[in-house]
Amino acid sequence: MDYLLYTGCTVPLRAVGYEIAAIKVAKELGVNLLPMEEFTCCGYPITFLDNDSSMALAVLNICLAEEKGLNIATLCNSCTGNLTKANYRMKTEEKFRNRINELLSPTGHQWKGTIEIKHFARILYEDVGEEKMKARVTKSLAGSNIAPMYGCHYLKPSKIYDGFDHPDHPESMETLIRSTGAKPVQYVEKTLCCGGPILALGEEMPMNMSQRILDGMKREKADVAVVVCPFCNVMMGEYQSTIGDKAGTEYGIPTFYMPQIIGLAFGFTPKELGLKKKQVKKAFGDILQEDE
Amino acid sequence: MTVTDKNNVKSDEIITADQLDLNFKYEVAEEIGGEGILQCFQCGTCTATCPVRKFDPDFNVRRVIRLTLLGAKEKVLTSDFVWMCSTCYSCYELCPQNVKITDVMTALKNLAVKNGHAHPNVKVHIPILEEFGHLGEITEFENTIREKHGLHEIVQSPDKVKLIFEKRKLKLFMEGKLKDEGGE
Ligand code: SF4
Ligand code: SF4
Ligand code: SF4
Ligand code: SF4
Repeated sequence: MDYLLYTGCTVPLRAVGYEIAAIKVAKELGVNLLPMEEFTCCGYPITFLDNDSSMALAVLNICLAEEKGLNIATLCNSCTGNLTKANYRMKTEEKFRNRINELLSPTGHQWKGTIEIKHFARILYEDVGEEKMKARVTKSLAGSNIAPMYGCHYLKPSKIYDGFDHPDHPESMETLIRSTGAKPVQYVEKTLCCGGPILALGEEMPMNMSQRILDGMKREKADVAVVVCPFCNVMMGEYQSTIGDKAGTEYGIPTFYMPQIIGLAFGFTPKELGLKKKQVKKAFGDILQEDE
Repeated sequence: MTVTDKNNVKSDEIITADQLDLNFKYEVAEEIGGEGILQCFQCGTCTATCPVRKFDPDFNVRRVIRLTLLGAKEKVLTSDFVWMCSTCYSCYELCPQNVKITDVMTALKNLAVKNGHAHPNVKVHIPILEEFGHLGEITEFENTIREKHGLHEIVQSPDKVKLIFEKRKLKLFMEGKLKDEGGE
């Protein structure tokens, strides 16, 4: 199974470990995430300013993949959302299609409608499946309680995602967590928005919104949180101690990217997954034997 | 430019008929994603599910839609509220009338920009994209780490992004100098 890996701009800049781990884990499972040599921003951050330009950038990247004849695999929820929405609208709305193709005309690219976009977690869930993943596990994470953090754009709007998972009661991330031997933590806040997209307007609101999610994880006694988006990680991971200070608590919930916990269960060393040994020891110390 | 007091759309304010622009709802419906607005029947499901409202009871998306349908153009487009939707699609998912509220909120933001009321913080990405084609510069530093891990080198080019922005006349939009011409 071959996919073109669309990393977007944030992963190479802030979460290269996510990319490293995804490629490794994919390969073990017979999925080739091939490099996308030419790509631009997916357009999501300029949606607020001008949706036409935003959609045109998304479609530009779809065209680049079409010309390679490969479907796109994504790592960031917002890239996934913007690319999938653009592709869906190009397919279903003629007026939209003409408008965007017109904007693309100076670049020499035109949309053909020959490829699909899938988040890497969705690929693992749908195309690889739990059984095949379980069979590859050599170091079970049994004993660890892991909270899945879905974020919003991985699931919603559900109509553009062919209903691969339920928008309000999803289970794809739990399934992947379970395949590592760990126990998925259930908490009602797992599909809430972190508020990241309005961070530029002020920190207070996103911090409140993210605190609600972290409080849910803590209430249900999560040891670790797992995310499928570099932005979800900004709020759940990078902001966690600041949010804790404000809330007068210490969450102490290390966050990892989904392919990293899967990679650990597959027996890869922290380094091979773009992680620090200390980080892994802190989160899974009693469970994972140290590899020197 | 002029993002005024967020209390602009507060619920205790009286709006008089002479402030209304009955064409406003059609302007919104013309934007990509804005067309669903005419279907709203004001049930309030969107407001009830909104995670932003949870922490700011004044942010009432049903009311923003009602004001838009009434034609309170200035009030809506100069309010902070259009910027506060975090595009989470919770309301979109549950709306019984398929209003596609998240997209309507985006259309309102775009219209605010076109009318010269862009929130200053939403313009910052454009010069970065025009310089790199991505939301930041990938330097030697990143590419060295990439090489170490067997990842391909990323070569940035803003050329195609710039061509699209030029075709769209994005600069004029940002200055509030050009109304929508349907992508021409
Ligand atoms: S979601 Fe953001 S970071 Fe990712 S490609 Fe799109 S714009 Fe760039
Ligand atoms: S939770 Fe935040 S970062 Fe994650 S998808 Fe939603 S808005 Fe994006
Ligand atoms: S949920 Fe839909 S129909 Fe109900 S108030 Fe909101 S936009 Fe209108
Ligand atoms: S999409 Fe916007 S308005 Fe709708 S629930 Fe989310 S934040 Fe609220």
